[in-house]
Amino acid sequence: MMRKCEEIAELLPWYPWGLSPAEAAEVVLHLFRCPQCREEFSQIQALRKAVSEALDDLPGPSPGVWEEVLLRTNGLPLGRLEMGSEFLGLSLGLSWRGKSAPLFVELSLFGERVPIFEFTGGVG
Amino acid sequence: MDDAELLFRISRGDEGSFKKFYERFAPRVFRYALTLVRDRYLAEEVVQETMVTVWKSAKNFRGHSQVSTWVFGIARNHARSLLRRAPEIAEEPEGLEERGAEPVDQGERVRKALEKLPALEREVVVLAFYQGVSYREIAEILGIPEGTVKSRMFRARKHLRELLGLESPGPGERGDDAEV
Repeated sequence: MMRKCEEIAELLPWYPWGLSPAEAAEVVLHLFRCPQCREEFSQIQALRKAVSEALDDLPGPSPGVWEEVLLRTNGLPLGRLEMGSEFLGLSLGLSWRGKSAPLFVELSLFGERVPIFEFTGGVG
Repeated sequence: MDDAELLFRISRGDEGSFKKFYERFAPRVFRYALTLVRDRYLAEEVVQETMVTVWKSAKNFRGHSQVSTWVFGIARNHARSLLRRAPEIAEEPEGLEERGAEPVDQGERVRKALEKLPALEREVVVLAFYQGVSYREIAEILGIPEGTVKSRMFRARKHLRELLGLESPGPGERGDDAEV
């Protein structure tokens, strides 16, 4: 059964990326034969573009946020010693986590780092 | 590399993937948080808490939803928790736009209009139009029925058009403000 304009209009803000394939097909068929809904869709597109551009103008979080995140997760890197090649290597590193300075060892395999050991020494 | 692959690597402690994930999501989470808490510093706090949760809980992600749905859900919980601790923030909008001055360009006009939307409508508009989240995922993030997401979007569009002084509503617009 074909949907009414009101039902199609509810789906328009999410056409085409936020609908199931069946919904998207129904919307596109409806738009093909309904000039009123095509006009509605064009207004929604204009609104979406305006909102996106307005929010894109806003700055992102300050760089200090990443440092705070690091302090609470991996720690800020203090130093790292790398051995081997880019295909197979070993790194030894020290980081700062506020109240501790963990020493860690990672195996590097084809550019992918795999943590194999971590020693957390409390200094606080 | 897609979001799920990055998250899988983060669950194994890969710092490089965590940095990539942060660069991909932090600006999106920040702008979403800004529409909820409307204060730059609080929005940065939401980003920080969200990313720490991602690092600690990446192994719990089961892939039943999009990574972005999971991340925005975490951000929303942290934002709501901040607002519960400081409820006066929700009543004093100031984050999206400077107060007082008349908007001089289109971006400012739209941000002012967004600011004037009811919080529940603003959230749906930002998630759908800016973050590209489907109505099903928005329903999951907000914990509301899909029909409610659609009806909020209807009202939000109507209000935004009015605030921006645009054309009258089209065929699907409802006259009433009832929520489904």
